[in-house]
Amino acid sequence: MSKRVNHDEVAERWLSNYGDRLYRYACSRISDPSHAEDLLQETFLSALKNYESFQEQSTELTWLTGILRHRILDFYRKRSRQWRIPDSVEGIEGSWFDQDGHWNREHSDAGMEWEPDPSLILDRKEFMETLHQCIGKLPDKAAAVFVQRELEFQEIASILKDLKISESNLWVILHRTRNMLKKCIQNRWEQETNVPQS
Amino acid sequence: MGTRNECSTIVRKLFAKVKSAYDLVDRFYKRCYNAVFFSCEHMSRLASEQQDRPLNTRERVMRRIHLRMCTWCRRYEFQLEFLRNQFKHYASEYPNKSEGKLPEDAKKRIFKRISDSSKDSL
Repeated sequence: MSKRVNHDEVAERWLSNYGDRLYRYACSRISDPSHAEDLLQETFLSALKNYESFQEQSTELTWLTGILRHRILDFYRKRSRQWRIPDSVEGIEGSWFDQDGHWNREHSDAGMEWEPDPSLILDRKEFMETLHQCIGKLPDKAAAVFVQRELEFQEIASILKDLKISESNLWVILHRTRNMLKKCIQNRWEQETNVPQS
Repeated sequence: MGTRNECSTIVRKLFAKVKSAYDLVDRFYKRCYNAVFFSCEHMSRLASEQQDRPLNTRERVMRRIHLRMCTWCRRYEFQLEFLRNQFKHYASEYPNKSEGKLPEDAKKRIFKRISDSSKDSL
């Protein structure tokens, strides 16, 4: 027998207990807040529909996060259908190298001097905020690949299947995405840390 | 005065010749180097790809050799490695530690949608 649940009651509890936490989860992976809200709504709706299948072994938050996670992957999967197939993500690293493929030392854009100290940065809210803004600026395709690979730790094979791209194309997109984020973070972080730290 | 000017042009021309000869040798050296070893551009791609796939034997050996000689590529790998760790940290900690809140009107809208749909299904 299915448990009889009062949907309004459950929804209210979820929204007040986990609403913010789940919303932040969605926002960390999707740059447009209105999309994030939509996904949250879908998550709650499908969670209520399957409320009977919820096992007490896991906490409600973990269970809901799992559903939201699938919704996010699905969101990018659907989006990828609108992509034109042959085009890739445009790279910024063209000028980082000279014609022989050596680092172009006159070009400071590559940020070759940057030696971040992990112990200074780890766990700093400002750094996470910087990262968040930089991820938000990624082009569509790069964001899809980035979220699937670096934030949701999907296997390469499943990314290839989900986003319907070739393996070599995936390497190129990942490389370019990392370079874009590197440059963005470096620029912003350097601006911030020019102010002496207290 | 005239001879001095002439002198300086000759010297300048000489320098230009030496410079272009140097460039030629430099280019030649880099070409040879690239024929045997991986270029920095190639290395930068490998630095990224090794985070996603195992490198083959040739790539591993070449990477070793290249990194031993090239400070810039060593640093680039370090930067990518650093970023990857930060991404991992961000993925788990941003939902806990950032200050974003679900806007009140969105909360109301979602609640309304849920309670409407439960009425429909009755």
